[in-house]
Amino acid sequence: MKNEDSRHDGRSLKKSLTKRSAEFISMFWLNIVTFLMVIAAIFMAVSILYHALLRFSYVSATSLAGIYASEYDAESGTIDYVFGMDRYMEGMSYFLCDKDGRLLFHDTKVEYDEETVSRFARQLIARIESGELGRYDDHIRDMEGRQRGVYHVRTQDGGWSIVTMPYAAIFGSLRIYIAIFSFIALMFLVANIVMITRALRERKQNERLISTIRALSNTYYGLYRVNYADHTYELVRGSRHVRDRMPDKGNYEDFLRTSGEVIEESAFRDFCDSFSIDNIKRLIQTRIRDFGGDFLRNFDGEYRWVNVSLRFDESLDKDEVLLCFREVNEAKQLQLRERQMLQDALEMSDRNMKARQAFFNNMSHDMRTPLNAILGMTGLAKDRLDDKAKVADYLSKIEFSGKQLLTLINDILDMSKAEQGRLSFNERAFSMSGTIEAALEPFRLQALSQSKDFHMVIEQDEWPVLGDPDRVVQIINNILSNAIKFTSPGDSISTRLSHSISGNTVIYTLIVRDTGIGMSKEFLPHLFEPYYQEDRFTSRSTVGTGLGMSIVYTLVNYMNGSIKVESEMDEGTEFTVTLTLLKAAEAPAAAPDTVNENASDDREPLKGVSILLAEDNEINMEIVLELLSAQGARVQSAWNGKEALESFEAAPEGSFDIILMDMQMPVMDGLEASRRLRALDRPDSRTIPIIAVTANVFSEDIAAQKAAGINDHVIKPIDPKELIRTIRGCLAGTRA
Amino acid sequence: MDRTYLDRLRLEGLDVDQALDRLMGNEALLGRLLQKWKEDQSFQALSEALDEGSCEKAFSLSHTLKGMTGNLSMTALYELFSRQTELLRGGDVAAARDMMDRIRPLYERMKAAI
Repeated sequence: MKNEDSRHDGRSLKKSLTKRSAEFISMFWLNIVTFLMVIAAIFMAVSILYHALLRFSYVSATSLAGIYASEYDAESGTIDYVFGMDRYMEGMSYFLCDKDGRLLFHDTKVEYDEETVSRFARQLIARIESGELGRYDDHIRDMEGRQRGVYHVRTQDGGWSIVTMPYAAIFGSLRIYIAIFSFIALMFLVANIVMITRALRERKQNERLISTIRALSNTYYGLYRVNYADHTYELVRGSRHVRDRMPDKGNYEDFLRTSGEVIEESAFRDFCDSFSIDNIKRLIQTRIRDFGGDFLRNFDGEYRWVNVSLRFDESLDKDEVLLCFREVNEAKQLQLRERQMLQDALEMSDRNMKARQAFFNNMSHDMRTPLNAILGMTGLAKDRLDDKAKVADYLSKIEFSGKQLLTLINDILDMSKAEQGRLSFNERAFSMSGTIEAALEPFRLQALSQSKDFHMVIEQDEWPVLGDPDRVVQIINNILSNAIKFTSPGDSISTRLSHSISGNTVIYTLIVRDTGIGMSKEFLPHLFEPYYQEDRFTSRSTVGTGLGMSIVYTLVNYMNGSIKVESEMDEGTEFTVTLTLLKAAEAPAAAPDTVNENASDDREPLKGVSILLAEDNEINMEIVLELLSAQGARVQSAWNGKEALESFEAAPEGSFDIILMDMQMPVMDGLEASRRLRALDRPDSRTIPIIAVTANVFSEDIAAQKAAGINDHVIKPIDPKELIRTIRGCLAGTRA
Repeated sequence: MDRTYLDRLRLEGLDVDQALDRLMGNEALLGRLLQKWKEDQSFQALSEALDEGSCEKAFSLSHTLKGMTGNLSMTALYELFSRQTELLRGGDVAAARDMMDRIRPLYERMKAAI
């Protein structure tokens, strides 16, 4: 497929590269050889000329020696020169000796005394007689060290007639020519070497450039140069489909048709339109340099994503564009997946929004029901103040509704906290079996009062474990209140707690089984989803937020446990909760309501903490002030948001550890003040914890507080323990 | 503070135990705060605002009263002011004004008890 294609092309490209470099190397050697041959030819020519000249001198000088010998007049001891010596050649010398080697006559340009000349002549004759100087190119060095040719003949009386001729005279200006020629040859050689090394370097650079281009073009399985004036294409690298069917150059329309055969049908027409010659011309006119898109292409029966792009660049020839095909399957798939994920996330958040909307609609109804009951019963009780029994009955009903309302609100708060990932766990040593037994007791009484069977099997443990017993109780309450809610008189509820020990950890299993109405198969998977209620539930005039099971699920998960549910319509429901807890080293703490740190802190848990308190109401201010001071905190008060902001700004950095901010205040409310405070340009304005004191506890309000930079909230009317716990939680958060 | 005083407060719907819990058992402080509450003019202002039909003002005052009664654990009044606050949040001035008929006797009786 694509890889095979590109590998094939890579190979051919490599092959052509190797071929090109071999050509280059042979040319290089050819150049050198030619150069050497030219040098050799010139050398041979020079040497032929050299020898010819020597032979010529030999012939002429030898005959001259003969002539001179015959011209010698013994009487006068002179020679009557027919061929004047100085006329014949400059620097020539002549010696005539008798058979004993005595010098009879000599004629040299150089002035030496007789003695020296005779000795030179005798030496010459000695060398001649030894046969040393018989050849045309034999030579000697004269007394001045110059090379001279020696030419001689025997005289009739057995003497020697000798002519010597300086080489300089023989070759004359030939030497200069040779020198000039050698110099030129040398220059030529140097130039040649320089050119060759430069060519070599360029070749190396080119090879690197080519390999870079090759690496880049490997991402393309098809590269074509298109000439839109001639309507032709040229294949730079062809896909296998095109290579098998088309020549390397040809008509562009044919190419378009052939390459279109593998394009997915719906994209084919677009492809033909977009890359028609007319459109290419239009694109060039509008100076679009890069144009293209993605489509599905058939690779041997499998459709994969491909990107095609049309490139227009000045480095290409006139009227030419580059058409590039590249496989982008993985990238495209990833992109498509990401888009899908985004869509899913959007849908999900939309669904969540709707679920939440529905939840709030239910909620207002659910809250009104117990409230109406409370108000109604209160009215009734007022009218019958004398009838103690009635009043007691109304009061108990009011109490029941009030508790329902409280549960509802607590659920909402927990859910809101869980959604923001900050459920607080107050971990300490406690007895699991004791806690569960105590938590189950009220439900046992309630079940009995409703004529339901209640079985309770608790396997006692003798060790404390680490965890938050309040959260365990919360889990029990939610599961058991459902069990009570969805059973009728005569049904039974059975609970069973067992455990197994593995080293330092204890695995507790709690099973709660009822024979109530059960849940539908359709509802089961949604049981733990927040805000999801089975319609049937509401028709039974029960009050629930639909949050309980979701909270249980979240709590169990927070505690690294698991929860399983099995249910059958009209058969009943069985919950199995598994919690894995660590054994605690010490006995259960006597005071379970302390806030994790050491004992001395418990009397004044906020000792030394500096608090800025914003509260508009005098009474509320005094209460909180008193409350905090009693815990050892230093409190500065502000009567509205603006004042709080100003106090904070005026105080040196780090003066306050924490800010308590009432939300509803005149001049500037808590949200606005918090926003502005967070925006101040000083380091502690971003880090100082802000706790909202609020009566509004719905998640929207909490979200708005979060957006304004508020870390946590406490609810009015103020619960001192909660307030202290929240403050300490926030402080621990910033110090951690 | 003597028992009968506290019992009277209890009868008028002040959860004395909760209030004292909040004030760390400081009865003197509770007494002082109650005196303050008695002198507070928010309630009168609220009545006027409701008569004028000024929803925003009434909401703020009702909210303040809700906070005060809540913190002082005047449970019944707190519940009523809470309801009223919600009504005013929704802009229902008429309903909030109607509620005053139920609030006022409770308020007056609480004041008297203090």
